[in-house]
Amino acid sequence: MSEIKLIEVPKWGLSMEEGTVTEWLVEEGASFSKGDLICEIETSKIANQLEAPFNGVLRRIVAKPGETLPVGAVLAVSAEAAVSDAEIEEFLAAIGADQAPTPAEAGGSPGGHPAPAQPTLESSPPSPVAHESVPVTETTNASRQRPGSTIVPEALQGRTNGDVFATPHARRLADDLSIDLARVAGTGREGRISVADIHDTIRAAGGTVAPPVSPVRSGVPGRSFEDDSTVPATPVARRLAASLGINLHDCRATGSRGRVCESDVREAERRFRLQPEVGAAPEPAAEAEFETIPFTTMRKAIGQRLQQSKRNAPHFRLTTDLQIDDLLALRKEINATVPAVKLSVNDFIVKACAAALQKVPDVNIQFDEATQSVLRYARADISVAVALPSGLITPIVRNADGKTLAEISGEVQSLVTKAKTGKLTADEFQGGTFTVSNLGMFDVRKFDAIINPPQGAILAVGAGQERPVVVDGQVVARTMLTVTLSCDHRVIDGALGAAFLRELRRFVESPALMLV
Amino acid sequence: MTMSKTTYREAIKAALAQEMQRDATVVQIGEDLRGGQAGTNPELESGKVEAFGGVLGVTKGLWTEFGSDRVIDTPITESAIIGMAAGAALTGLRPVAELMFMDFFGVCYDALYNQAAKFRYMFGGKARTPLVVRGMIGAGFSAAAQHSQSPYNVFAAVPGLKVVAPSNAYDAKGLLIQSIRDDDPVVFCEHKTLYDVKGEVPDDPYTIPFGVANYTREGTDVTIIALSAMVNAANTAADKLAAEGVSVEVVDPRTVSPLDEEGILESVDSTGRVVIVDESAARCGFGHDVAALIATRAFGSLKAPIELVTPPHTPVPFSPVLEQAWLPDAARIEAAVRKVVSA
Amino acid sequence: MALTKSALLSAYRKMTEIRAFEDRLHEENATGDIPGFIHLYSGQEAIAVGVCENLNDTDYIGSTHRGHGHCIAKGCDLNGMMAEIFGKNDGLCHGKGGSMHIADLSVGMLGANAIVGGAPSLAIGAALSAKTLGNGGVAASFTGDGGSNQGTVFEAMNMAVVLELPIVFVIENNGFGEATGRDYAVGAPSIAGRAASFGMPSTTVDGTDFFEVYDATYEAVERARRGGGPSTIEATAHRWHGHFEGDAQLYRTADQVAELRKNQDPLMKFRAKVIGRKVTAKELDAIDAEARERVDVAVAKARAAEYPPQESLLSDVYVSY
Repeated sequence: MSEIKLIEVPKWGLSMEEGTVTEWLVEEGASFSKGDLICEIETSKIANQLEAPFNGVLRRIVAKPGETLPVGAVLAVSAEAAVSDAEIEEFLAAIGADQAPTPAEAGGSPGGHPAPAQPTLESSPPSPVAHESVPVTETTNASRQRPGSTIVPEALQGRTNGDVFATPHARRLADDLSIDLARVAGTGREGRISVADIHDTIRAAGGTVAPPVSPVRSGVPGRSFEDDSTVPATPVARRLAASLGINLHDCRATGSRGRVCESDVREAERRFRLQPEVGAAPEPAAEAEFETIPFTTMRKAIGQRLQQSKRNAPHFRLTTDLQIDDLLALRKEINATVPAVKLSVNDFIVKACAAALQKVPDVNIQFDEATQSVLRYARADISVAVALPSGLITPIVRNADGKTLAEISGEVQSLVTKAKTGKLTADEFQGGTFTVSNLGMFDVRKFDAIINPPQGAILAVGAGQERPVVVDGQVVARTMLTVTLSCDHRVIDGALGAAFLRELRRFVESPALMLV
Repeated sequence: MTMSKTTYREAIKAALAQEMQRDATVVQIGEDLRGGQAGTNPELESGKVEAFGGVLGVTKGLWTEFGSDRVIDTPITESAIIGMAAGAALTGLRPVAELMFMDFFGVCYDALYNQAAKFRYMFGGKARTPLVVRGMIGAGFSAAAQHSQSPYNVFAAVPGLKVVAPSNAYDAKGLLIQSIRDDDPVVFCEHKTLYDVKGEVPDDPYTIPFGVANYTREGTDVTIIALSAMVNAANTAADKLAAEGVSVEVVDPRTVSPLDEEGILESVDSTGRVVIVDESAARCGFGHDVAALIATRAFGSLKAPIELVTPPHTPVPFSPVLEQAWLPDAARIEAAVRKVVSA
Repeated sequence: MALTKSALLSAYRKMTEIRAFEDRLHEENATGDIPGFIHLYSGQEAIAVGVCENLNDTDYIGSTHRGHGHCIAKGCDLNGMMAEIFGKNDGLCHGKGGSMHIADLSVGMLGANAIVGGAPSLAIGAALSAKTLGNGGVAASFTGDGGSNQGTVFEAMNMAVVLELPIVFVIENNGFGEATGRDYAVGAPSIAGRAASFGMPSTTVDGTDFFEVYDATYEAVERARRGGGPSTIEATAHRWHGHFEGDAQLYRTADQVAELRKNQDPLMKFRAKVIGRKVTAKELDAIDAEARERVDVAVAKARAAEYPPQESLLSDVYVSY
């Protein structure tokens, strides 16, 4: 049943344990596109809007405004129109979507949601779905059919007497569901009854069959707690794992003589970094005044680089406002007419920067600290800043000047996905000649960014806003966007930076120039 | 029905004998089925001593019971043996041809591949070829590179052939009787290391349908799919793991073609973790066929990547230490299960 | 051997049908409407007919890729054959076999065989069935001079001798195995001689002379039916067309082929021997005309017939499903 998808409480930041839905931005029944803002969620530290992780139709809102739910809990269900409401009900029932909301919310009892059609024998207390990681045996039992949510018509009920030709799993299922196999039509070889045959017969007789639960495929194994002192590992790996709080059982062992080596530990760390740390002993949050959050390696790395950049490069900033009405109109037209293309404003900005860099190649550079020399590049490799819960990363769109808007858009999306799933390769984020950092989606009007070494400049892009401007002596409303270019004064002077901005303006305000 | 403890070898012989008793058109064709034709031992001629009945003694005594018209010893000419059997099957007999070692299919494959397998289709449904070709497969006896292979993957790829590889005496008898009664050409693969293994076998004739797998162990955590001699290794691994709390289900397809896709997929849907162990090939083997089936039809149930345990891509070595390393065994299966369970 | 008038006419009818059928196919093939490969038998009619006139429907023959002549000689329906060659559903094999696999077990034709040397082992299988079932049947297998070198042929011959099978091996020496002459490919001076060394009676006959072929076969078949085991007949008759239709035949000259058609025509030789004795030229001409007409009808029907339906793709791989 791949048409039903869940929207879950995201993990924003290492310490986030739960979130409260404050407002739904999409109505039940409405369709949404990937990237659209669908609801607002408040955590103990921030309030933010959740971007839809896929295209879909919001069929059922599960989390009501004001409801606080743990990370990973179901917020809503999305499904294609073809999926019936009943199937959605079944699905929710099967996954035990009765989640205990924190007090002061809709009805103290679990499940302010339509209950499954018959009393269920839930094999475990209502639990949030999917992201809980449990030891192997429990998961496997849970992945078998949950008897309670399959409804067997009376006509089929009974015990199987005597010899019926059926597969072992069909036999087991019949036992579990108290079905008499003599009443089931077998369509297999020699009339053999299969699990599928039982399901078909149930449906044909007017019953329902619970949809199967897809196994957790987050790519992250559950975290182990067994004593790992006997796991063969290099000394470096062992120390590193201890310092990072990683159990050696969770690491692959690709080192010599079958030992866990340092890169295996780093790999495990990378995997865990992007997922909720379930099963780990939770911080006793309520009582303490503060909690200590250790720096992850990634955080340390970001810190070091930016500090170095700020220290070594004398930053200066140039700000200008760009009128983007024409750009927005072009974007709308392209998105409406070109199939399978959904350009964002940022895609245009990336392209415009690449085009501008071709006109002002002295900004398309890297500064080599070691040799104190400037490397001027012919092609524009634009780094795009991506915010991850764990920190900032800048994947690169290489040769952006030679790519179409659609190609840039597709590539950015793919790079962002890779970044969010921790799959970027080194050459996908190391290097680049220019960076675009966009906080427009957070409604930031203007900001300036720190240069991404070894590059020479970075463009900080704000939100597009309707503002009053003066045209021919009249005050009119235009959509304006403020950009700030930070430059390294060792290699880029004010005039040069300004020249770049002038070219950028040309491309942004006359976007047709980017199409030829 | 009465059962007896019977070896794999005796179960096969019983199947042959009982079918020949039941149906006069069933004949056996092969080298040394009796053995001793034109021999010079008077005791053999007088019947005082029974001829050896084949290199591994499977057909011993059948000539004495049925005579030269039904148990036909031939010269060492595989092409003519299999070709003759195919022609005879087309024209009224139900021959069981022995290809002593399946490795020899190289010298007679046309008769099976281009002729017997294709008659029915090429002739628009107007022919049937009720032929059985039986022969030995498998490594483990230091029989070396040309006498130790298991080419059932090659035969299974041919539309028109059915391929059977039983793992125990009970399956061997029931499936051989089924093969003889089937109207299509069947390649029946007997693993040479299993001939002396005993099992409970009914005394009377019985059949086992093609395309129905047998679960030798039922479990919930991992599925092992194994064929022929590998089933025993899988069972050994499963029993050891059970003691540690890992519940293993062992699926023995028994027939490579037709394949019990449903039986395999149901098990994978249930456990979500799969180890396939197969002696046939390191590439384009039976195991790879099953892995593709699972990956395309049960991907949503998989909790870990599929594990394949096969020999390396080399001919079978002679020296026992090397041959043991070549063959998949319970230890390698166990390691694969652990890998798949912790992934 | 003195044949009755009706036997003579029956033999001539078969031969001229083969001639008309193959000549017509030569023309039809040029239109491009025949799929795949065809291999024509013209010039060798006396061999197929000379052998098959000694066999009945319960005797089986194995054939080669050049099998149309054997099919017609054994009694296959012309319409069914033509439809099969055109790939139509009404074909003898429902369009699933084509020219190289035409078969009709109901008249004892085990099928044209695209594998050179493939037939002899199948034919000894048929002979084994006849012997085991005790129904008095015999088998015959046709092999070319090129095919006679295949190991499978030697194995089949040896097996036939060892098991005393009721079979006649007919070697058709038509001069060339594809593009290579018999004299190069066959090391021994006589193919029949090779067969004899396996331990069976062997003779060599003129393959363009119906009567020589017929008589030699008569003896061999009688021997087989009596339980006397296998025999081999080597019959020489050059083929008139290329190995396959489209063969440029660079290995011989057009003059040489013209000479064959003029002086080595089995139908002409047959006529010369029988006209004025039991049969008139007019009667034979009438048979020629009827044969051409029957072939015309076969072509018209084949062209008008339907192709096999899509379901036919997946059917009849196995008996049980």
